[in-house]
Amino acid sequence: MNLEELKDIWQAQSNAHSTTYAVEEQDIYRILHNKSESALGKINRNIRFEVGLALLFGLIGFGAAFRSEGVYWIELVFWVVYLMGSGIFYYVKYKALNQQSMNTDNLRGTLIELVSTMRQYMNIYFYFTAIGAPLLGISALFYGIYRASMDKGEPLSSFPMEGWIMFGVVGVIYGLFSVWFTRMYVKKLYGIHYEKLRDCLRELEEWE
Amino acid sequence: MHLVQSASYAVSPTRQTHALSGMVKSHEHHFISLVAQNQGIIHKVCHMYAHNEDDRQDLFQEITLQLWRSFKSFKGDSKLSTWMYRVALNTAISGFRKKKRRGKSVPLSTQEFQLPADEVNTERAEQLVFLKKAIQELSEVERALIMLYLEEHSYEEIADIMGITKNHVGVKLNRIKHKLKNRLTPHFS
Repeated sequence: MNLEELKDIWQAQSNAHSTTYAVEEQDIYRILHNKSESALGKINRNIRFEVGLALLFGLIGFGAAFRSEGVYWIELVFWVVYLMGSGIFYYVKYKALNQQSMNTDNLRGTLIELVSTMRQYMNIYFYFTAIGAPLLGISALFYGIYRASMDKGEPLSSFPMEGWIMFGVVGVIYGLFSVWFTRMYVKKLYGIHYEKLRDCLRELEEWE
Repeated sequence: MHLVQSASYAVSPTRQTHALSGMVKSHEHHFISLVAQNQGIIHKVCHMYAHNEDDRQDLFQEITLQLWRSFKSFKGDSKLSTWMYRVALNTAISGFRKKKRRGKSVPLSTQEFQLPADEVNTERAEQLVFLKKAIQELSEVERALIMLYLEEHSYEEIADIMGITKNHVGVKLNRIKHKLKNRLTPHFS
């Protein structure tokens, strides 16, 4: 068996395939102008949808801080931080996902860049979600307790000890759950792809 | 772009927009015609990395979009085919694609190889089935290398596409050929 002998028949077969599956110029035009059905295209659309939701949610919250009895500064600051955090998060997410789109370097160069970008992206995703979500939840809960005390005209120190213990337990459970869930989610969503890229890169580099 | 900038002193904004839109359209038309003429490259990569019709179509679409996105940065430093192979292989190997449940991979058969039906061709088509099966068992990176080799690319072009040295292309190709030979010899004898 000699691979050289199979070159001509391989080429004949791949040329035949190209003829069978040939597409017209109109089809290529349609690909360029239609909404992308690729996974990346869908993820990008999902990100835009999430950005819209986050913005809407943030603006409603921000607006709700202005009430007839005055401006609630703590709430206002909270929603500004939320909007800024969401903005940074989605910007990084979008940039990391689409960076690979523009890469025309050789395969090794592309893989080096992608592995590094994906690692950064997964870290950002993990820390933002695993730490950010419980922090937001716990802050909101704390603010609820604070508001309730203020409305009753009592100091925060009058809140019962059992209540603080419950608050701590909920915080810890929420934090642990968030770390576990985010780790599992990130791994399921991007981990397999990341591992594959790293293996391909390792394979290319072990030849050097 | 340079033309538009130098003409901007004399032309009204509306006419500039029309001129720019005309240039964009002509750029797009040029791209479409280049892809149509060289689509064989995309099909070859799709057949190597996608295992059913749906996946092939998706990959074809993804590669075409990636080519379009990077077309502006293509300065002609390398051959068009080298650039197309680079983008196509980058997309096929490193692109983020969801695993679909629809459509199972179709087992290879001699019917897939469109050669005139005679005894010699039937035998060769069978050999191709075995070759393709053996190639599918290689890693994705190895598949790229053997595909470029079978398509008669020079070691220099392969090195340029893969990002490794010419020497390593040779070393690795020898190892892959050896692997394939071991897998194919029982069938061919």
